[in-house]
Amino acid sequence: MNSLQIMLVDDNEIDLFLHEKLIRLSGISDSVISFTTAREALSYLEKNNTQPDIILLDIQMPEMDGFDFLKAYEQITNLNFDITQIFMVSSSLDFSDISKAKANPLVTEFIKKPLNVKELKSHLS
Amino acid sequence: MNKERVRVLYIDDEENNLKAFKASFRRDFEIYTVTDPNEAYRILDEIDIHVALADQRMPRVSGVDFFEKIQEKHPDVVSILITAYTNSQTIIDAVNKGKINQYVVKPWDPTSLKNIIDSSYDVHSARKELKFKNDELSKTNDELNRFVYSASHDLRAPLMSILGLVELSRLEKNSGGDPYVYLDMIERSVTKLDSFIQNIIEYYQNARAESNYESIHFSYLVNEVVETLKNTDPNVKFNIDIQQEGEMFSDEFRIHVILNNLVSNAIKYQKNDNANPEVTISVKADSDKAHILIRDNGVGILQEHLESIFKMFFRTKTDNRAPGTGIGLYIVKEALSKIDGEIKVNSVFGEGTTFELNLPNLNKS
Repeated sequence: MNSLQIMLVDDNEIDLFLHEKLIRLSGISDSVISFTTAREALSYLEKNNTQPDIILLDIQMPEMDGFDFLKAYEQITNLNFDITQIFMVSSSLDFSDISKAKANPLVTEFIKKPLNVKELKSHLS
Repeated sequence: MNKERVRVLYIDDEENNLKAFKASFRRDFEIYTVTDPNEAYRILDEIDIHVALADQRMPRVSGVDFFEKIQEKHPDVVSILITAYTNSQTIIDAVNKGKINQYVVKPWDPTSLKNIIDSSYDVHSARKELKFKNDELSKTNDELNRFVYSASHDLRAPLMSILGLVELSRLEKNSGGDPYVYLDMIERSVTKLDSFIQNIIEYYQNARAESNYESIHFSYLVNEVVETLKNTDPNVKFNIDIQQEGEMFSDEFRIHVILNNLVSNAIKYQKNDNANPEVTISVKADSDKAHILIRDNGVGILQEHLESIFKMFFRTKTDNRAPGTGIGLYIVKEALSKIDGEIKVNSVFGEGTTFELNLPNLNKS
């Protein structure tokens, strides 16, 4: 099994469950950590010495959304931004959300829900 | 509806002109006369003047300059310039600089001046009306934009979850697992989507429906709301205290919508570890007004969120299994505005929330 470390940030618990399961079943990774708020995910990143290889970041979340997460993420000094690939994930069809996600230098790719495992795999190879 | 009295401001450095004007029109209009421009500015600030007249030749400020100066602060005031001299430069300045609406040559004739002021008032009313409609329109437009944005997410998100679960079930089936374990997750997504749709329908019913005033029986209304909602969480204890003396008229549909949303929130936002969840509903009503309190000992609302809770699609993060759609309190506020009601909220984070409603009797008058 692949040793990629994957972090999921999504306020929708069903999607978290779903993504974790899909990632495990498809053999992408066995090491998945999930957070239901951007804040919790950020404080994990601040405190831990290991950085995830991949972050799947939901766009619409209450209080602190995916874009707010990215702003705060950029401020964390002990991170090496080259290690982690960030994928923004959303069911939104909103044009400006999708363009903003794609334009952000921290974001590798925008992926729409429902998560397509083949699509995710193709971005990783 | 009675036509409002037209409020006219007249500024002229010659007292006699002001006196003559007042003598001619004091029965027709509410008249404010001044010789000092500073006093004119003060009157415009304090009184809702409809029509302003100014003499062009004044020692401290010309009529055109006066109108130019008040233009930005009082754009609705209709301006009439009075002058004895028909100098073309004055007319050009009057139109270009002062945005004058009417030009009257001295000596004026009372009948035609009265007609001019009357028609100026119509212009003023039309401007006001237009402004009001514009504000309403831009509010509706804002809501529509937010609605489309939110619909693109909130309506689609549960559907995309379901699609994902279906895909996962297939994978499980192929690998010999049990695909049925995902059914209750699918059910939860469907319920969430349904409650969002119901909220939207409620919102549009409230926005569209004509107000219908009838006698309100609070004990009946409150009991009906509690009976329907209490099954959503059988642990919650209800304390109900209703005192109604005299007949009170309002819109039953809207009060029902308001109570339904507030009580359902009081039940929904309980602390997961609270052994004694309680919701208290008290009503004091007479033939004048109704005062309603809805109190819970639930999770409470953070101080920094209190100002935003009535906004459309505002949501906070909760550990709750039943997150909100962000429409409920917005509907409450909209419904209240249709029945002239007021709402106040008091909340201590971690201890509970109290909503206080004041509703007037909307009968007769």
